[in-house]
Amino acid sequence: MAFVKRLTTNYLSIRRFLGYDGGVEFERGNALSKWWHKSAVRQPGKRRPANARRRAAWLALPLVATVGFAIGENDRSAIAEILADPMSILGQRSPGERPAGALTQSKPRYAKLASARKPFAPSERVLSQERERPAADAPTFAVPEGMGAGDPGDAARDFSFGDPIPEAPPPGGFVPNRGQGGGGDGIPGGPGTDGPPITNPPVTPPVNPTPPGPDKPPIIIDPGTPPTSAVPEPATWIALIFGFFATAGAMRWSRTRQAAAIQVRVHSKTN
Amino acid sequence: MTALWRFLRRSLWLGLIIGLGVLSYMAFRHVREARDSAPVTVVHRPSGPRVWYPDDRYPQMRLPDGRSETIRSVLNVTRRMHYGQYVWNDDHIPAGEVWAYADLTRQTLSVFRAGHEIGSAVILYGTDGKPTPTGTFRILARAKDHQSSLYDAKMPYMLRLTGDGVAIHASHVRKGVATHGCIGVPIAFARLLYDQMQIGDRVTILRAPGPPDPTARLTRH
Repeated sequence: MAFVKRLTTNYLSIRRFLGYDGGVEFERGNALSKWWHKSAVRQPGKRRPANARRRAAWLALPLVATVGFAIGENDRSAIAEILADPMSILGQRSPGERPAGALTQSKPRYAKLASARKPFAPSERVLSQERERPAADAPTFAVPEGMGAGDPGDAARDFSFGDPIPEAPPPGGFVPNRGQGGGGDGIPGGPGTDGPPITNPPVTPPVNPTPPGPDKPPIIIDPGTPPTSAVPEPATWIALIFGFFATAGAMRWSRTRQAAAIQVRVHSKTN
Repeated sequence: MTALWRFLRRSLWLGLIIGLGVLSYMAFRHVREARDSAPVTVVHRPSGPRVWYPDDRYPQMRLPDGRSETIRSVLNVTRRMHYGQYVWNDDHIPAGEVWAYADLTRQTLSVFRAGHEIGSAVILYGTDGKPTPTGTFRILARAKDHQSSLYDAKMPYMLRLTGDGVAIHASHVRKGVATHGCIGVPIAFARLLYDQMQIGDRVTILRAPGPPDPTARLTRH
């Protein structure tokens, strides 16, 4: 149909369709388009026909209805909030599953190969007979939420919330062995060793000023982001200065280009 | 004639509008179906040191021995723990029954007191050739400075689980090693665990089904 075609042609025809513009004479057209023009298009010096206003309202109705369908969906949907189950929380902290055969030693080492007196048999890596020293004398980090920290490297990476606690002798009298290494047994033993006794820092749980009960959730402290320094690091400074000069250079370059273009244009005009 | 023409016009418009309405209604059909079929659930993960479960909805952990353990809260460790790392927080947790849960799939051990998790650590466990037995065990013996007669090695803070020597004890927990069947924990954690657990307390060792949460690896920083 003619008016449908006009409607889809351009914006002006939509305005005309709604009766905002008028005064267009039709040289060709069927009876419907002529009626449309006469009844809906505002004639010069006259009020826009009521027919056009009504038509606009009718047009807006399905749009409004569609919007209602689209918006009303989320308001009525039941959103239930559930807590994460314990197993998923345990899974999130897990370092992952140890794959089968991860510890199988199927090839001899070079040193063993050189001095192989008996044929090599595949074995599994276990904690060696000569134990390595447990990282007991490593600094423990004070964590505000009361979380302890084991490996200092890992702790510094993941749970770095504060400075190490100053070491204090534990009440239990536990003194790690820091002997000459002749014993070959690294796990801390009794206090009768040659090395200087390194006392082990106790894990001191932080004191919460207002202790809530187990049924009452405690004060929520977001462990999120560690504090950042207000002074940027050197790399940041360099990037900042470089960006400043790059911006200035770009501006200068574009200005010279524009000036050159204008000159060229003027030059060509005069010629 | 004019009246008939007007009537036709109006019918045309009405039909157009109704058709558009029906079309828009049909377009959101899948949204309505999704809404009506299942309620939207959002997993809420509070911040803070601990995930407290509401009083009327404590999760129950069903264990293979038929026991069912109530879990009132767990430590809110949002990041993946590394070998040798542990968390411990028993602030405001009342005294109560202590039990430990070692998950060989997740390579973690959790200590619960009165239903609240008070500590957790990454563990070492037995190799495929000398596996850690699974099941529920009671602590048979405790020893602060234990010398293994079988392996001639010191095992501080030993909590013996079986008659043939499987125990929880301090080890240098690091990647790429395993034990002869014992459960190795970091020594500082072993000390805390030793203070908590008494002879007769239960330790459940499981190879829990289901892979560990894959998001643990995705959220690694």
